[in-house]
Amino acid sequence: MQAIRRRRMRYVLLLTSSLCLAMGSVVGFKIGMTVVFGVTVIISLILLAKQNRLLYQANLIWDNPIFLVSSASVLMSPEQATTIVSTFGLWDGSKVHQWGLAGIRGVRLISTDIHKGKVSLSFGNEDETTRAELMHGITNEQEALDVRERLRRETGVTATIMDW
Amino acid sequence: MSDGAKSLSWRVKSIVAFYLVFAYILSFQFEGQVLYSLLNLHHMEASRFIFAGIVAHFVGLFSCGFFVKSQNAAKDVMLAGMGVCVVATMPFFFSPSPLWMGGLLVGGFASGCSVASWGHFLKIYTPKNERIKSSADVLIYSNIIMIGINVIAIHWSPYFGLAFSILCLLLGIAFTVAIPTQNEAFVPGDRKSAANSNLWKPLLLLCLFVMIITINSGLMYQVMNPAFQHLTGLVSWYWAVPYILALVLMRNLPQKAKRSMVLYAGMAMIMGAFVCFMLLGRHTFDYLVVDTLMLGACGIFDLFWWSILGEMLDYTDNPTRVFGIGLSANVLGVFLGGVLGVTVTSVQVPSAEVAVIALAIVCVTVAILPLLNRQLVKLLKSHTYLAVYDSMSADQQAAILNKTEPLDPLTTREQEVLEWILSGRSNREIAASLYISESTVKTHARNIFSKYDVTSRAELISTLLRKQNDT
Repeated sequence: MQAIRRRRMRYVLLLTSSLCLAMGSVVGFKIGMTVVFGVTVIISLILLAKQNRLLYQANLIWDNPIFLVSSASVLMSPEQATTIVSTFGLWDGSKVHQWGLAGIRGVRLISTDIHKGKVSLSFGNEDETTRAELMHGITNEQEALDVRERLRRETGVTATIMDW
Repeated sequence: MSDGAKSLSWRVKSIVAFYLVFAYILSFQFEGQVLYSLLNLHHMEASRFIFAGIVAHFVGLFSCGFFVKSQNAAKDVMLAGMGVCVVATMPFFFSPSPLWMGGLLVGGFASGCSVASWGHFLKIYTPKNERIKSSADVLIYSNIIMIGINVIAIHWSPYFGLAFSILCLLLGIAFTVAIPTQNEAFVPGDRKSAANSNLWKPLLLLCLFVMIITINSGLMYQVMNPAFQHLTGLVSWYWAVPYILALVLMRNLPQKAKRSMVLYAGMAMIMGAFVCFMLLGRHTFDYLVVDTLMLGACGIFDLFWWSILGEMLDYTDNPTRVFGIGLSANVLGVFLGGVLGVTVTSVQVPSAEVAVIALAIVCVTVAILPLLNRQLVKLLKSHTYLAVYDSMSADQQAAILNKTEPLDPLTTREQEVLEWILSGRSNREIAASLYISESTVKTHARNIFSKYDVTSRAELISTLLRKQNDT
């Protein structure tokens, strides 16, 4: 989340400075510079909108966790080292895979298999399906059953529990 | 007497009582011709008196609903308000003194409270689909009486005009005494109806709508009126005639007539008035054309928002508050429009350019109206459906949900959110109840809409109710 916020802040700065420079160029009748800074304004606006959307999705995922997977790595911050599987998608600290955000026609969680050491998630729409596998830290069957219940309640998908 | 005849007689009494008070306010307290004539007679600066009257009236309208919460209290406040107005108007029979200003302040506040309190009687004695007629009757008769008093004040004597406006108040008191009250009091903390809990949004939207309309009226009044000042005789009686005719026309429109079309007609008339004002001269015929278009549009707009305000009373336990706040937006609009008008006219530019500036302001604000109307209709529809749903038993509500198959099954969480939506709660309230974020609720709601193939709450509830009727 911090990474997305930082990126967004960079785009805000880029937008503000290019806007100021574009206005300065307009006042100074520098047509070439105006065009360049104008294009920069448009590009930074698009990038800012994209980051905002990403942040919105990341927040939704962060607010509605179903289970968390921690990767024990000293090189990563705790946030980066945590993968969240939530009602509205999966977030691995840097990348967002969303589902359940755009109704019946958007990307949806299709199936989930909870194995003893890993969890497999299938999500997508009519055209394309993606499969993600995560190593989880679930140690007993009851915990796996709880996760299955939370998944069913939040996403409507009943997970298959295997190898327990 | 049968119940129907009794209720009609109470309705008529409440309407008569209100239009008499309203006639007093229009002819004297609220920028009335009687007040202007008296101030002119004593060579006094009118603006500070007008300002005081408007502010006091606004405060009365806005605040009354916060202390009047039952029908009995509404009747008492109406009577007390009119009594205070009679006393506060008396100093105007004598030479100017600080009592004039005090009278306007106290009387303005009291009349604001009286007007807001009538909301209770409009709700109780007029059926929902007839409220537009009751509102039209109030506006038509109060304006007719106002014209009479104006003519008396201008052509006869301001003191006679003042006496007649006080007579209106006294008659208003007599009719108010005759209105019966039932012993049903609003109990704070009572079970809130589904539709009641979410009335602030449409009310705010309506206030914005009313303000935009009245800002335009105030602006036009300030820009156009000085140009026809030399036609005092005609202006004194013709000024409100097109307004009354438009109200009569609107009152008798068939129920199935599309209200938004009338709104567009009003917009065209308002712009036509400005164009004619710029193109025509300043003679009698020109005044007749400009005033007919302008005041006709004002009549259409006024009855339009009065009828929406009347509809809203069904969704509240405290009609005084809703009615008072709605009308206070009108007063605020008149004030802001006046300020805008004075600002525009005080700029040192030729009058033709002033008209162009004013026309540009009017065009911009009027263009917002259809958008606001659309939002308002959507919200009111949602309230109507919620009220129907709310009136059903728990079994019927459950049956509705079971009978309507979504395109894709809802998750358990979505079912919870749907139940809260149908109980009339806002996204924020649902979020607080389910301990989730507001954006989560919004996302669930979007998914629910998608599964029922609808685009809004109103459409969702109407779809569910339609399925119930089909089966």
